[in-house]
Amino acid sequence: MLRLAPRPTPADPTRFVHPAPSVLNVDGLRLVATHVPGDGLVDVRLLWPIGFVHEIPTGVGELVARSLGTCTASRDAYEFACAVETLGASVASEVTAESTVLRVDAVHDRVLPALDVGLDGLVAPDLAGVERLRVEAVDARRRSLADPRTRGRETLFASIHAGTPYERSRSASTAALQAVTPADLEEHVARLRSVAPTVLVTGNLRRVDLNQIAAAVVGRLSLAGGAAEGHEATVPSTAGQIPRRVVVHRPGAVQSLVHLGHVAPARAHGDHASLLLGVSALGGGFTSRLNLRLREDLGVTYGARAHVVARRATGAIQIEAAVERDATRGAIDETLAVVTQQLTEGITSRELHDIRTWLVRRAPQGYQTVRQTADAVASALGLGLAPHQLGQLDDQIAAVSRDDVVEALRAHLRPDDLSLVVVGDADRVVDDLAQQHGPVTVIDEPAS
Amino acid sequence: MVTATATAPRLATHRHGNRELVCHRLDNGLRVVVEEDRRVPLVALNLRYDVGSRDEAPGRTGFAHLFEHVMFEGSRNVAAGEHFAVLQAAGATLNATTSFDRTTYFETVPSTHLELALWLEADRMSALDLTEETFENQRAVVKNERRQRYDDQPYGDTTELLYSLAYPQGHPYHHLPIGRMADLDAATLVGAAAFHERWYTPDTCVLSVVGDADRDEAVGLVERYFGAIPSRGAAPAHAPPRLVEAIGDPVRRSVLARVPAPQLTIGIRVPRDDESLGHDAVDVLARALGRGRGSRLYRSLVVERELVQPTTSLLGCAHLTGDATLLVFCARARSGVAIWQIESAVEEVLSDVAAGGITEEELERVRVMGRRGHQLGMDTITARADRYGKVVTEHGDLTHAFDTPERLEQVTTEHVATAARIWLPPSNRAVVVHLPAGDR
Repeated sequence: MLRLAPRPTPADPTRFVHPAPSVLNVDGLRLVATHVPGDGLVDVRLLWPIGFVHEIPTGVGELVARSLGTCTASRDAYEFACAVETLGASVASEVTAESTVLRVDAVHDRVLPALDVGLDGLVAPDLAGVERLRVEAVDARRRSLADPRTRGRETLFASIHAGTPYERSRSASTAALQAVTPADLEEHVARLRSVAPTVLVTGNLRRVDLNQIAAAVVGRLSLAGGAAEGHEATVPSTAGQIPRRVVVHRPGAVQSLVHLGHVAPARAHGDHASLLLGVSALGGGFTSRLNLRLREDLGVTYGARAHVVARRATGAIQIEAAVERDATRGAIDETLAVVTQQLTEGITSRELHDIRTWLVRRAPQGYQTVRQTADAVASALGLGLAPHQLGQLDDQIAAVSRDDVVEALRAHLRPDDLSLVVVGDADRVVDDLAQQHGPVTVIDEPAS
Repeated sequence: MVTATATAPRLATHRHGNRELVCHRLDNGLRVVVEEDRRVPLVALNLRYDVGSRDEAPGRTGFAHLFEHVMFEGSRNVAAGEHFAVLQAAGATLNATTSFDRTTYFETVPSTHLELALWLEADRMSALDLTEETFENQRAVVKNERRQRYDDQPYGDTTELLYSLAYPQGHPYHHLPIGRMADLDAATLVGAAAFHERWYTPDTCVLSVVGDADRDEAVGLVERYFGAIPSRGAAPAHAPPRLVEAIGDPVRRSVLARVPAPQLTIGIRVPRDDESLGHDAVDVLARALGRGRGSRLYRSLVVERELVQPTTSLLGCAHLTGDATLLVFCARARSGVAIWQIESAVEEVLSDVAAGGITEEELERVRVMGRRGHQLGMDTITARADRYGKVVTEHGDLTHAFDTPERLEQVTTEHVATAARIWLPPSNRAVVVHLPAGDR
């Protein structure tokens, strides 16, 4: 019989040291520089703490972001693309809930010309192109909402954040997009130009001149100086405002996309690490409780997931699984039973250990490349963290006890408050759900 | 360029720039590639088994992929689910994928856990320990994967329809790796055992180890854990390539579906991806036509005529290696645009290129973007481990691991013009049209 070598017992890995960005003031700009050795690309990002929750009118930030990464008043989309691609560069812009980012990357000796192309969109935006941008945004929204997963998430956010700027997870409604005017675009670009962005430079810093980068930003944007101020969106109470049992009707769907969720504390809350551990034990990986039950025991899903949506002002706890249509009610009941059991029993020492090591030891994977490192720094800053706090979450996770997890879960995970959204065939699932969970609101699939 | 020098029997060192790799073959046939990269305290493992959906028996579509799931359900010394549990608790990320041509298992682990990961992989290569219960469970999971990714997604049937049109009935690429529900239902535990016996052998596998590990020690560890697994003789043969010619007559399928906008998908059959000059010319043609916002199709369809929704890849290569592969054009109509308008514009662009080729400027854009893409694609240890597995499986050595930019330099506008003239005529098209229900 074949005899393999015996099973090895690994040592504990040495603790990973996160990159330590330097925070500089160059030409009045706050510049966050992170050194990544090697000959990879250099990544430059301009980050404004102005997201879609701060925009007036709704939808203008998305249209501006589309414009910044694709065209200017003097270059149509093709000319813009050629200018970028012949440099071997990329230019992109994105608006998230709480920030706007313009990103440029290229090899070190081409990053300044690429940045120059990227800044053109702020200096001379393509205001005349608003109609084209609007059609693209509406088409993209329609395409995105046709995906049951996206549709479920949007409907869940609309339920749990109803009446607040956080009630959408990404794109504005068609009606909102159609109401945006060229003057709105111009005003929003002017707003971005009125505050100095934080400039993130990531890459081999020995090969770039930070002063030149800062000078390009200050010079092209005619900035008078002064760092960007954080903006806080108003977050009204959501109590009592929401339809909490919703089925989005997809006739003939062979699966139900089940979403459960409610609001969670902001990223800066002291319970974040404990809550993250608890929710990860619930649905954070292949061996989480929900996956073991719904996938490995029952075989009713390809995978389930529970996670904490971390945001600066208000977050969310979200659970989702695509389950066999005829197992919809059973899967929801099982999910709630797993949640309740975890709240009652807490988590085991083994779970605490395994989830902790999973979260902390995989950290280096997010710092292999310039792009990954820049993403991590930008994400931290976007959440209102200081650059030196990059590795702080690992320390906090390492210090969490089982009692901390139980306390955080009991404080912030409330099964009775979970909104339920099912994207599936209403004709096949509504009666069953209503019988178990009370009145259900059915909405038709096409969304605007 | 890669240089290779023999340092010991069956052990070769390859250098490319500041990268140094060793390539080794165990007595049992297992091929091993190791590269040190100390940037992060992690090691990426990649086991590429030379078996994919093209190797499935008639009536057993989806089996290779179902088997990939089963590989996590217990082996000689590892309980069902333990593979995931042990590695995830170690801080690893891991998964597996099955395509037409290969099945790949990969994990990126803290470097202290390299040895454990090798042991786990060796254990499941040597013998599985399956039960009817775990097999039935994974059958149900895979059927739900199919529902989630194909049956219940808008446009989810696109690829399945396209391949069934572009490849004749009975051809290994006629069906997708996910398989058909009825065939998944027909799969058996006995069949799984036979599949493992036939395909999961040292002879069919390339093991790549990239990251924070000493090369010689890593080779020693591979010897230690895999060396005792017996060879099962020569690797099983695949069906030989047989499609070198164009489709012949255009084939077409239209479907009404619950989709938000009309979608046009076109498959163009081209020579298999053997990383030869002939294929590289086709690859450059695809990049010039459809990759990036500076491409010919983007300019025409998105910017000038405003017919389709913007996407950075309108035409790409499927890179199949076992037989003729496909160039795939896919675009969704902007609001108010009809399929015929898009099709007519695409035809115009393809005809222009078939008649006149591409310009030197277009070729230069492809080269610049190709260098960038190659650099980004080789940036992580996980991606490089996958790349090494591919080239060693396909070519037997690492010659092609790093040479994409140089190969793009070899391709001229004349090569591209020839490829365009041969492969772009309308007779070489499989077309799938999705129309929103009620939009006929």
